[in-house]
Amino acid sequence: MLKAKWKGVLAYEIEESGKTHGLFFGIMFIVYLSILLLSGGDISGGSFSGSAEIFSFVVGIVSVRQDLRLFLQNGKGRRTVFLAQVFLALGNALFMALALPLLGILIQVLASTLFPGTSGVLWGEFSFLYSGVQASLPVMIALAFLANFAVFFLGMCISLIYYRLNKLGKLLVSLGVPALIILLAIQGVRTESLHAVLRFLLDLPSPLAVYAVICIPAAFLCAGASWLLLRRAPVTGSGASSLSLKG
Amino acid sequence: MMQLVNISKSFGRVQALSGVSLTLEGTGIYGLLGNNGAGKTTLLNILTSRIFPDGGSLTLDGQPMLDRDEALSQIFMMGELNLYPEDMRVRRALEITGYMYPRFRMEEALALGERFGLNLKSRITALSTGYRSIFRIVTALSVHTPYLLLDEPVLGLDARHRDLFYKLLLESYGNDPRCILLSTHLIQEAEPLIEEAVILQAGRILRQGSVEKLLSGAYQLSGPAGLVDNFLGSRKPLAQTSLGGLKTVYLEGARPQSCPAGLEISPAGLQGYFIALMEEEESKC
Repeated sequence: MLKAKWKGVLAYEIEESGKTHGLFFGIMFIVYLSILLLSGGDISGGSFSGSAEIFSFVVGIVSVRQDLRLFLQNGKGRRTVFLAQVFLALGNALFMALALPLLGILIQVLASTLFPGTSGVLWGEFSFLYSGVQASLPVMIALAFLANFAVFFLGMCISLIYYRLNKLGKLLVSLGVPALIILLAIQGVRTESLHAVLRFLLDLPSPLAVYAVICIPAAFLCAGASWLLLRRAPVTGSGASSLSLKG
Repeated sequence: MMQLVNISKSFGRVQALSGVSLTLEGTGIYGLLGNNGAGKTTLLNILTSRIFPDGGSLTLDGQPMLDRDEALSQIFMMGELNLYPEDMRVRRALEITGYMYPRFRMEEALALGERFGLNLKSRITALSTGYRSIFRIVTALSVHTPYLLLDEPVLGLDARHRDLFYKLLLESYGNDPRCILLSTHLIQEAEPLIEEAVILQAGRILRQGSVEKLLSGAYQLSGPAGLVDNFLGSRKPLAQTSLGGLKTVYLEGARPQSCPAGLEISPAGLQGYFIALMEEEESKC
């Protein structure tokens, strides 16, 4: 019974996200191929990782609402919806982490084949962390995994905050959060505690450690908040987005 | 056995359900009847954990059922609201239902879709109101869960498709007897199907029991107004209607064996009984 339940849930998640991620990878490949062809082989400075993180963030926003409705329609509770999102977050982060270097290799091969003599380098956002030097492959994979894992849950959390809030709440959050960020930006730099945090991050042995220290707690925090928002989320009316990124 | 005890639910100041206790057991077709705003959809939404009650308890075979996969997998609700992604194609939605409900029969769904003329390649969003209902009917009849909840299943259907739905529902029930809870405003059409009726009014259960038993305790009396009034004496009817000099009243109680000449006694249909009850309640307010 339990096995059958998860078989169905995972089959759905794998098939639907497989289509979406395949499409995303295809689009990114076409975009970078176009840049390569138009620039005559110079692709230095291009970044796939930023697009991947934006995509992961949007998938996090959309999938939780879509799955909540679909799963409730099909006899699955909110705990299963949440666990399916964790599975999706892990799968998405892994896909992005592996697709990033794969796309880089593909473009490099094409660049050297189509434009011999050029030294096209597909820079990731992570390269600046390593003083302009391309990070090693395992480090790139780890960084991309952490970043995509965290932003997925950030998207999911924001999506659920807006799903649960009433109109006034949505307005207050929409205005309040930017106001708070601006206030923190103005006031925060002067505070000793922020300096201490920054010093702590700068003192970490590597950018990978910085990412781990930021992304892992952020992912857990967002996931925890998401569960609290999800566990009593009603499914009625037009609460969920009709926007679909799956299939 | 699905058991609800003292369920209450409010939306802001509106008390949608108040002290609702209900037991659904075994196989049978239950009719959930009530005016608009009586709390039918709220009750169905609570049964499927789409919303949570403010108070009371729900159990399925003695186990708590709110938001539990074990319980939810025993229930399929065909609500007015489409919970599948709007841009999903009909066939894909059926496939996904098959992933989630092991007892779902795809061949049956395809055959039913064909009988209704449902375009499986169409996106759900592109379907008309009637065909959206058909999509939901096809899904619901193919799932074969022990509990099937249908909320206004014939919404937007033409007479031919409504007739087909009732036939198919009976056929499906005959082949796989299960507990079906049918919420509808079209009482007259659904009456031949309904074995047990649950009548809701303003969030409370007004009457509950087998249709046969409910209707055996009610009858309709009609004739010239003067004769009817003489026959009634001090008895208060559930409801009455007058047209010209003729009067029809609905009465609760055992049907008299005989009546004065000029008066006609006939059994009250479920719809007549329902309307009479509602009018009686309104007159109390």
